[in-house]
Amino acid sequence: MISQAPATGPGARSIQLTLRRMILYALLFALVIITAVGLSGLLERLFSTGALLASGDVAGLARSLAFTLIGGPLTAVLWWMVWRRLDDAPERTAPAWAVYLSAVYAVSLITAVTALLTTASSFIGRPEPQWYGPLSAGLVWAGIWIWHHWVWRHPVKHPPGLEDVPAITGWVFGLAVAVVSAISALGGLLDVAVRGNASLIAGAPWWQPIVRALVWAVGGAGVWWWHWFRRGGRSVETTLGDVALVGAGIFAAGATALTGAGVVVFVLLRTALDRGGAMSELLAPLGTALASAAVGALVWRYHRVIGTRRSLATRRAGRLVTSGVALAAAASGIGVVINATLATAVSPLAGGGVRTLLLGGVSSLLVGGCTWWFAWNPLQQPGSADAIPPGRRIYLVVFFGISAVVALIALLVIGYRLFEFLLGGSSGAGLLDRVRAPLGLLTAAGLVAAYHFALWRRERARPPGASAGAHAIDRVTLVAPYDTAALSKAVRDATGAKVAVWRRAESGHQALPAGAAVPVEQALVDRVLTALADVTARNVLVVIGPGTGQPAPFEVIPVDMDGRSR
Amino acid sequence: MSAIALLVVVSLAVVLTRGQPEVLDESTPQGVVQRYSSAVIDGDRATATSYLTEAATTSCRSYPDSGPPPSRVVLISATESGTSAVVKVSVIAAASDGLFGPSEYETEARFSLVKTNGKWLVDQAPYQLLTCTGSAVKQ
Repeated sequence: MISQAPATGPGARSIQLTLRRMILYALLFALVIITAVGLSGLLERLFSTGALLASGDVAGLARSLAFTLIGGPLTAVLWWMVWRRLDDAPERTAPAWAVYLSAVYAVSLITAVTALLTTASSFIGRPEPQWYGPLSAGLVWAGIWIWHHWVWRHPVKHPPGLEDVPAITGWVFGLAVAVVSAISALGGLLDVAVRGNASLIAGAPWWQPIVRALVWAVGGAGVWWWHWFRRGGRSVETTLGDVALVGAGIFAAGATALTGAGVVVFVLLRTALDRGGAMSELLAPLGTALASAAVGALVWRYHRVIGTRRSLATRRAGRLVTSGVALAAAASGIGVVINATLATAVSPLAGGGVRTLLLGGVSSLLVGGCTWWFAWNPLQQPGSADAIPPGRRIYLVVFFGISAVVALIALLVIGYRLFEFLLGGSSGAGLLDRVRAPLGLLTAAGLVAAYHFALWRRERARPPGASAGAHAIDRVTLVAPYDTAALSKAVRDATGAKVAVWRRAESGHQALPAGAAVPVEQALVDRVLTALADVTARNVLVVIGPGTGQPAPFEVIPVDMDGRSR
Repeated sequence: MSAIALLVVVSLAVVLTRGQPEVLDESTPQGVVQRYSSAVIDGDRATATSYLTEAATTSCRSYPDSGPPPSRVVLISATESGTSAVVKVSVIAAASDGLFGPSEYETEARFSLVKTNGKWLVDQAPYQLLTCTGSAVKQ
């Protein structure tokens, strides 16, 4: 017979605590939302009392009252309990507290900004703007956002984990709103400039939708600016910060710019070689495409410059992501070109459209191919195994894998069509027309897979060079009695590691006052770099001093930081 | 790289110098489907309706227009049995909202035709190629 151990040990207690916190914060999150919905409903009724002639919405009022009068006091009680407990360090450091705060911060920011911008834009060109609902929701959620922003900045009770999440959420959301709205505003303006005012609605000036989009763009830019500059989003160098920078600032912006540029080239090619329809219809996508290319390229460029100040890994990731987006566009272009070429072999019953398809493929191939050439630089590949950056092999394997999966799916579709034909279902012309798209995809994916597989095999077979270990350091912590900007820059450039500088503050030695700059002699820089070249640890402590004698004493200490998250 | 450049040049040359579709015999089911489909794609409703049976014209009035016409119709097979025929086609619709430019959607569809007074007429057309004369609006 197996007897069960009593659930009273330290492990069971820890599980109970975690479970309690999870339930507590989930309940608090739900209550905050319920109270906000109730308050918004009541506030909306307050705003609209002068405008409403009659109202029979008893159910809506009852719901708002119930949500406010039941949810509000319960939220207050639960918050009071949580706030009291946060004096204890284990409560403050609990992941549930950080997750709760990040979630409410994100939801309240997104809802408040969306509602307030809807309110502002509803006044433009609308004779009777319906602002009651958005304004009341915006005010209530703005209040919740201010409340949680204050908690996030609280000197004692802020969660020490996930501190970077609110700033990152804010700048990514602000940037997304600003970019989409700026593309809409600039695209509308360029469209009017290219095609004239094509609005069919009498009395609707062309500038109204543009100004509405502009309001959103300014609002989004404001949110981005606040979180990027004032709340330190720009200088967040955590893993999440780097992922957000590469994902939003380089990948999303790069895809936007490439798509826009591709459509611009497509429209220009159609104007020259495929004027089938009306000119106005042909030029319809041009305004938005120009705006996407311009705004996307601006954001992309800005984040690439910001990325150069981050760690070498972030810079490499930025370059690989750029290359990946461009390669996807170029491969898609090759597939469409093959598809269009095969379409010419089949005489259709009616219609055409092959020329349009081909020009689409050519434009995608042109834009994607040129960008990939500059980002990947296929003529200057690493010469030895040591010169191969760590992320590059992952990139090669990922691209090989994705293109192999795409090729497999295309091959299955071709096989299905082929067997359908052999079993007597269709004519030869019908078969070719139905396999041309997967055949194009198969060829493009096959080319991409073959190129990356060949490159991966060649790089794997390369012998290591002399400087093995030069790229092994991830983080260098520099402890010095004076400002060492030149030394930290030299270490960052030489090793690619993140460099943190700590100032010595021991009482037994004479430390220089804060801000005092002592020129770091080149000899010290060279000696530190030489010492670091022999180190293979991921984390290294470099201690300069004590004293500033000649030659300046220093010590390089490899540190084992396993178990630390960042 | 040079192979890709050559592919693009050859494709441009082939596509830009390509002629019109081969015209099929009007006395065959596929010839009628060809003329009907061309008229629908060109927006010539009067000509398209002249290839429909009376029943097809009436039933058409109960359908709304199904968006923009497809860009291309390709014959898959044609089967005749006495006074009726079935023509299977591949209908390709173009969309300009692809991530990196235009894309195509292909679906298989079928026409049912009947022989009336020695002439093939379309009795049932796929929804992508339905056309209405607009006479229902005048009622």
